[in-house]
Amino acid sequence: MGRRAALSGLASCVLPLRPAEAALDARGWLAFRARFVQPNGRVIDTGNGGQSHTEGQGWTMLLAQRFGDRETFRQVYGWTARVLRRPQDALHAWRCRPGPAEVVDDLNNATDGDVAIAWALLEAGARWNDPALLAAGTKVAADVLRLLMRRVDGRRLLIPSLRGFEHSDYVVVNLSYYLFPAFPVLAAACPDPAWVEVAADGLALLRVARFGRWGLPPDWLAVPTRVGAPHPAPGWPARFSFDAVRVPLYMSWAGMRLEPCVVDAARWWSDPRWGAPPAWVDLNSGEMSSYPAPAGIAAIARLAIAGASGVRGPVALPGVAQATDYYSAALALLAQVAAADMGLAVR
Amino acid sequence: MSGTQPAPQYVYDPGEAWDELYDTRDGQAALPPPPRSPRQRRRRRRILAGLLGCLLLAGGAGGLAVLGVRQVTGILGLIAAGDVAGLQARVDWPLLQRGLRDGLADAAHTPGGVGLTQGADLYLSSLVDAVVAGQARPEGLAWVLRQRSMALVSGGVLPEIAAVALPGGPVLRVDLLGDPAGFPSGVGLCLHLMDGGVLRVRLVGLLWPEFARQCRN
Repeated sequence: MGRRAALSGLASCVLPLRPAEAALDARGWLAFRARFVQPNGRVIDTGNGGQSHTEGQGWTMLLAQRFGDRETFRQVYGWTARVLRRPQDALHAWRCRPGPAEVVDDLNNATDGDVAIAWALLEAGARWNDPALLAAGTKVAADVLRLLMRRVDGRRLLIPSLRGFEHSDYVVVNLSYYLFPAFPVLAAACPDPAWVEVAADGLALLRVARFGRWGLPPDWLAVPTRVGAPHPAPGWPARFSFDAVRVPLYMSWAGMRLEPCVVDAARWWSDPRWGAPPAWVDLNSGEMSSYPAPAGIAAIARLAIAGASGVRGPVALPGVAQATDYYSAALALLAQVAAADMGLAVR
Repeated sequence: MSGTQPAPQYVYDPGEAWDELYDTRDGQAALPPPPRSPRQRRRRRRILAGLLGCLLLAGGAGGLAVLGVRQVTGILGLIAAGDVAGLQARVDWPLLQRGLRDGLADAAHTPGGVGLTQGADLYLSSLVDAVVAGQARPEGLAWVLRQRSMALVSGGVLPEIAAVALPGGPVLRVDLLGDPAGFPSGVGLCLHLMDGGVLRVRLVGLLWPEFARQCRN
């Protein structure tokens, strides 16, 4: 059996296309593309000084694929591979500095970006029956498996990047880097049992990583290497904030809408004492942001609330038009795709 | 001679005595051996089994180990060469998948005392299904073995075999070392002799260092 035939077999047997795509409204995607995707395929994070990163590139590849926009997918993947691909493995440098010079001065990766890129490549390869995309996605997934998993105090962890998060007495993880809906796709391409272990241990970690009055996961979590319980990582604010808001998104998207981390977040977001969900809460002091959550986080909040309360009817999600920057717009679109996968109608 | 007949008398003839003796012994030789008691039979079997066991321990195990290494080398060679068709015939796919699913079921319950929601259980089941389905394809199985055993990628096979053990029964177990810089790495192979007296082995299960329950085939 040749490599091409083998990859085609992979596409047909383990990566079914999603019927939910018919429910997607392309207007949000077209607006997102017009505002944040350059003609050369570079995605601009307008809220972070105009830099580009693997999170944005990977998410945009996934969205282009889900909205059936093959040309944009090709452009974005092309720029990603050309500018961000690391020479020594299949992972990607996490960031390109702002400006036309395409300066990549740090070859460290970001695990969430690489997982998103692998996910997008594998789904695109299956959708468009493209063995080259399947092979590329398999390589990225294989190096996520090979280079970014660690065993710490009996747990198998997904570390946030190759460098910078492993200390002598603790390892820092970002639980929003666990893209749960992506794992089955990556596991089908790279069928190592470690995917099951890292997912199960991640779910167990989410059960204990609940802090503050609301029992919410922090953006950054320290997992002791020998003794002690996980705790909010030193060096970062102990907040449920712009990172951790993606935990309820990915958990709901993967069908785990009733896990405590989703239910607790939904409870906090829907507390009638605040007119609109706040953007963040400090898990030590209880202090909350003085401004409401941007549209993307509000979309995740509504999705989580609908899922946790068992709503099956149409859900009103803020869209790209209400988002003021790249991150908010991307989260709003991802919430729309997640809702479609969950079988929730969006209005 | 006198007029009365003397009474017949037995006259000792040494030649006749030897003939009798030979006749007796020949007759005894023609008879079936006297039956042994069940106790005697069990004792005899135990002695034979002990002798055979000693022979196996002394040389047979080594011979089987050599056979195992050669056979394993053959299977690993198929994997390293990407010979999917060759690999197809050397794997007991149903047994392999059953063992994998059992091992993964343990891994999926790592949260242990924590009772997961139905959604989380379903999610982990779908992840198990994805891994099992991936390894049900020869190219998927070859991929995971190559990933866990870096020497397969570089073309070397024998240097990375850490152990060939005979845990009992007809199963051979071979441990392959992985890349120490990579994670996860290392995998064990469980092999059965193929049916029909053919001196070839078939892959029936894999040993994942991280799982407690596996390869019970």
